Amino acid sequence: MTTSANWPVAASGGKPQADVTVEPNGPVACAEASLVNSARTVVGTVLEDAGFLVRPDGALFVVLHRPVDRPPSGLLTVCSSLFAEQHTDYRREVCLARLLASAGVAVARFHYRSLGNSAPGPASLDAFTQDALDVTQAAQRLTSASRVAFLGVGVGSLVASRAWLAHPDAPLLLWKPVIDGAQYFRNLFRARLIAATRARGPRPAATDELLAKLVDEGHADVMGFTVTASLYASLVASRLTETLPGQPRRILLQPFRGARATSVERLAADWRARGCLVDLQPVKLAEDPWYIPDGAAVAASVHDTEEQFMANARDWLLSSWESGE
Amino acid sequence: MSSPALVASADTYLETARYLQSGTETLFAVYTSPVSARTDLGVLLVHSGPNNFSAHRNGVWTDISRRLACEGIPSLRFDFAGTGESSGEFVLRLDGQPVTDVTAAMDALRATGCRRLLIIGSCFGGIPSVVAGVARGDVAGMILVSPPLVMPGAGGMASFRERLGEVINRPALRAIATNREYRRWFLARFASLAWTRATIQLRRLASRTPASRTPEPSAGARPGRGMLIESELARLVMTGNHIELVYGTSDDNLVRIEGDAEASRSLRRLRDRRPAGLVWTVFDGAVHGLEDVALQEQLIRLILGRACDLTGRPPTAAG
Repeated sequence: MTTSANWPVAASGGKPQADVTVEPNGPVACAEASLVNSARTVVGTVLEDAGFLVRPDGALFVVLHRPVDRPPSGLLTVCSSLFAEQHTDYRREVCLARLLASAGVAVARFHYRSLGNSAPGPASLDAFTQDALDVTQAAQRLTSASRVAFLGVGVGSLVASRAWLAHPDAPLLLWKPVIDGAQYFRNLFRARLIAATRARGPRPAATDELLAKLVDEGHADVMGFTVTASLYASLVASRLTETLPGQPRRILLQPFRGARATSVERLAADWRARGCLVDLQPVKLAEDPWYIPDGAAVAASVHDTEEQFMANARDWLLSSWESGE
Repeated sequence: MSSPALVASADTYLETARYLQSGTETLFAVYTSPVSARTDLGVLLVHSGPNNFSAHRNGVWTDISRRLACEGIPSLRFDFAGTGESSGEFVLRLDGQPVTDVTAAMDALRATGCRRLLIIGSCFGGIPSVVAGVARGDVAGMILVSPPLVMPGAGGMASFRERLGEVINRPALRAIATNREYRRWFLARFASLAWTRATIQLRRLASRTPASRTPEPSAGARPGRGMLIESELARLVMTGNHIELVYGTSDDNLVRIEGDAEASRSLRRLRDRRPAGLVWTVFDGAVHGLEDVALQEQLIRLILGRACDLTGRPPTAAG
């Protein structure tokens, strides 16, 4: 994996609208790093720029959080989860970004290509990893942050761990990591049945039929989300245990209570055996295996437990960077 | 202000991130505009509240915005305070911050040059949209996608004082004084409520049932406690707006209306008054939560069609 995106980008200098002209399908016609069509606000002590990162692969929606009063001490790129889980995690990631930025760390959050507010494009694990690397490179230029870290949330752990390999000194944080892509989809398809029952709808197609539809039509509907064949094929063959760092690295695993947590201990042991410094901090929050958006685990407000585990992540990241110097 | 940059591979729309001031909170929004030949209609996309963000499920709001732009129609999608990228904490209320948020988003869309607004409210998002929309004269129509017009359980219902406040307020009184259709609806509604109340009291007297006794649950439609935002909906319908309620056959929010005789009667009354003003669309399946991609596409087509109707232009193949 390379950080090959050398597209030129433009300076915003805090303007609510960018003074740049971008040709469709072409590179940005100016010379410095920026988000285009962006807006800026201050939330407490955090400066936030939301806008679009334009590149030949299609524009990505990016939000950059940083301290308002000082240069950031480093940059964390957040690789979010997908589908319904992304919705339930969204606010938690915004809260983490604001917490870290108020502690002096810049945070780059983005929507993968073809999702959310980003431009359409072919989705796959490789493509999403490239998105994460492009965002990291642009955010580094914008913030002048030399130190980088990655956070993977849920199935975004597979994206973050691959992007992380391109940054040999970066720490890696994983929240409720998906360790096996195939197992992730098995659980997602099972959740589909629960969702249909809850909605009193007809019983959805069996998994075999769904997979056949993926092959025939190139996409399938899973609880109101379009899963493309390319994304499915790339994720289902991916496992976190196959992420092999070339040298000892610092890793924080924060599993939630639930099915995924059972494999995390083994993953930690694997990585430790390869010389990585792995910290395992189980979180007293439940995974939401059925993606039902009304339980306490997925409430929009941030609860005490969430604040605590986010604070732990912040402290771990700051100490990782300090010990790496 | 300089021209915003094209950020997508298509050359049919421009997307710009915005922050809007809403009281003490800052809202995040995305403004999508056509590259050329825009109409005077703007579409505001209001998501369902907690656990949602500006793009909505499966990027449905994003998709609608871009397809509207192909039809020359600009749009704005935004995050309520406490959701998505906005500041603050989300509060599920029929007034206060959510209404302020929708008002701020409407004002922002008007400030881009739109003269008329079509509001699309998903689930809870429809409620503050109606409350905010009734106070202004630039709303041409609303499409409410599975709005919770009857709340589950008594805890979610408005108190008597709140419901009184819905009716006895300045805009309502002004509408009674100036709008004949609304006045007729209001007086008929008032008479109906008085009749219902009197009937209940008479039955209690006849059966000697203590007033404090809880009525026994029964099968079928119950008297119910009525419909939320009934007065606001009525004002919008009677003043010539196009209001479309969209439900799925298995939506809980539809089942609650059907199970609440008072709410069903209220809706029937409104439809009888202005059949073209209050349109009732029911899809087969579950619309609530947009948990079906095929239904999402049907909804997108419905919204595009209604928006084009309001502009007087036929939809193009691109949209």
